[in-house]
Amino acid sequence: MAEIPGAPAWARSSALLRIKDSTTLEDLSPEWAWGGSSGAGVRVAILDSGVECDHPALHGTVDHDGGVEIVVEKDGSVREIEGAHEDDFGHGTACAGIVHAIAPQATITSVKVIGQRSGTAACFLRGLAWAAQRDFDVINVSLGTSRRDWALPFYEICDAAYFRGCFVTTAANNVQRTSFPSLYASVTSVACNLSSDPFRFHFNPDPPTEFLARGIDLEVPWRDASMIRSTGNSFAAPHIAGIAALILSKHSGLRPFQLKTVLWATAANVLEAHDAPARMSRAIPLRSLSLRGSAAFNVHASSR
Amino acid sequence: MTTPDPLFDALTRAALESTAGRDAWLLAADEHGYVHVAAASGDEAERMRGTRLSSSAGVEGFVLASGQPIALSGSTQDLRLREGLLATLEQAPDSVLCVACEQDEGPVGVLLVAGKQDGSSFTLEDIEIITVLANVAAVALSQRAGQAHPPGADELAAELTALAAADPSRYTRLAPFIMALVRHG
Repeated sequence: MAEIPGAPAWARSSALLRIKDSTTLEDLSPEWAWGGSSGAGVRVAILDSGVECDHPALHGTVDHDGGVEIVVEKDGSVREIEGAHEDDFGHGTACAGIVHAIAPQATITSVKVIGQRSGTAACFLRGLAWAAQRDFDVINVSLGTSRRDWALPFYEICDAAYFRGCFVTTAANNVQRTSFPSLYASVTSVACNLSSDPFRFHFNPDPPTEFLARGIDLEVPWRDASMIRSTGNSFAAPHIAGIAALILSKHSGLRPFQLKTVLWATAANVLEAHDAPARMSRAIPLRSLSLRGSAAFNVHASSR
Repeated sequence: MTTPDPLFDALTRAALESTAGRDAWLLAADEHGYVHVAAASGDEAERMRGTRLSSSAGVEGFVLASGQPIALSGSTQDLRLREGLLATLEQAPDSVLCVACEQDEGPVGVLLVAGKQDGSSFTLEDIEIITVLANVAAVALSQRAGQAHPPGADELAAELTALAAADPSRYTRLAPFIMALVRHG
């Protein structure tokens, strides 16, 4: 049956949609997923307070001129200023540093939405749209807004990014609190786990937070070419962004839902449930509100 | 100088005691780009009651804009821990914890704690406890904001005149209530 040009997918023969060969769930392991990968060829956008491009911990992997600063004009409108800019606080440099430490050859681009001239929900939204329109492979958004009047615009932009193939990682709140865009299925929300291993992350069976990654007491690059110790879900999200960059570098073309599946299959608690079901019965009572609520250690053994 | 509010004071005291911090502040944000100290606990914090400063500076500025709670630690020599409100402290902190007080209409302030008494860093547990307190503070700040700026007599008279012209029946219903409120304070 010949393909009719321009015909919608439902009108085509299913044979034409058949994929020659495909990875199965049994294939998915950390080695398969990112073994030998450096993040080369992957573009990561950091929506934040800017990135200090010449920070020694970033080793020149930041696309200095390719970034954008979203500013609020006096009349309340927002404007894009493309090109180099500073990090007004240090937080964006920290997120970039975490991604770089995991995926050293990924290219990082700063989308500055927080600073002396920005910081509104409108800036976040414009910055996210800017990154999605430029088809960044991974977009890290360690920010959020509680403003419900912005929920729908964020929803639409996140969906658009998802369908374009952008993998958006967001920082979730540690306690139940509204924060957009971390509540949407089209993004991947991340909170802290207790690990000190950047590659040890957990699948959370109790969404909207879907993964838990390192975010406690980290030494991260900060403004003024130096380091600082910090704790926050802000730093868990870029760990998943970095691992996603490694996976995409090795397996280009994965859609966001496929990437989520690879992350699920390679999460520490899923691997452990598969390998040693008995171990999972020894759940350790945790004092942390978020980790108690996440049931992160209660994943049952299942076939992968 | 703002009048001390028992609830706000209780929240900053609770923030100090639950995290073993040295100083704590509740900063209320206004719509003009400023934050002001609504409550304070701790030796150095107390003298900053009523202080007003730009809402885009320091760790409180970042947390207000990003909505993300954050804990930072360094040394007392680290100038990055001495920005915004913390720049006015005599004794520099070596650790800072800041959480946004958020409502559906956006952040209305932040709860800021400086300096662990034992010199350690603030933990994830500290962030969670302060977030719970910040949620209570957010509701209280929103309510106080509504009460803090009652319309003046001239403004009220102008509004009532406009209402009487535009919607006489609504004015007839509202006017007795307003009269009673004015009479009884």
